[in-house]
Amino acid sequence: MSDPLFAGLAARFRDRALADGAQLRAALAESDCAKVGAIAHALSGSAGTFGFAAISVHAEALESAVDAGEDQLVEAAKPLLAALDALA
Amino acid sequence: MTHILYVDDDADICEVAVMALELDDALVVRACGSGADALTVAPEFQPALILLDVMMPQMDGPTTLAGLRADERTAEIPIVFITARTQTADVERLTALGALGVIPKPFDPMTLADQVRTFLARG
Repeated sequence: MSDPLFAGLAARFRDRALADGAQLRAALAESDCAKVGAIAHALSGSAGTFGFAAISVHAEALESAVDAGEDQLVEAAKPLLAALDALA
Repeated sequence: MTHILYVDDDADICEVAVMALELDDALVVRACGSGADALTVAPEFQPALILLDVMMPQMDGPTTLAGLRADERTAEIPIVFITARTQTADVERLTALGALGVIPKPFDPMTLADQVRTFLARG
């Protein structure tokens, strides 16, 4: 979608995703699984719509790890965090 | 003109959805940021279809669906859930609640109107 409004929304998403990355790191540091899952879920359902498909894929994987009760969430979050860092 | 109501707590996603659906000139779209808003807007707007996010704070999609079904003014309006969880069991659970179907998130803005047209033809 080449509409200028969409481009603006995609840019806004990018800024929000960068902030989500910081919040995700904080949630991981606090072992706040619910917050990790919530951030992953939001990114999973939205990033692809704005053209960031890889972020959706990595976020979905992290959300699945949270749902499965995995205790290595820091490791599971690495691909998503790397994809978010790449937006900077 | 065909009215469509899009319900999602993510305001940016709502904006994209409205833009995407209004690529089809025959669709008139309104967005609501919560299930509670949808229960207020739907009786007056009388959409031909409601696109309803599943995971929302306060009132989630299934609870909103129940509220719409409980109001005779909106009880018959077809509802399609929008969700990132599209495992077979998830889809079966949502359709068992009375939804017409499920559109996976993230959705493709370029094909969303086509998907809605398909559901309108079924509904």
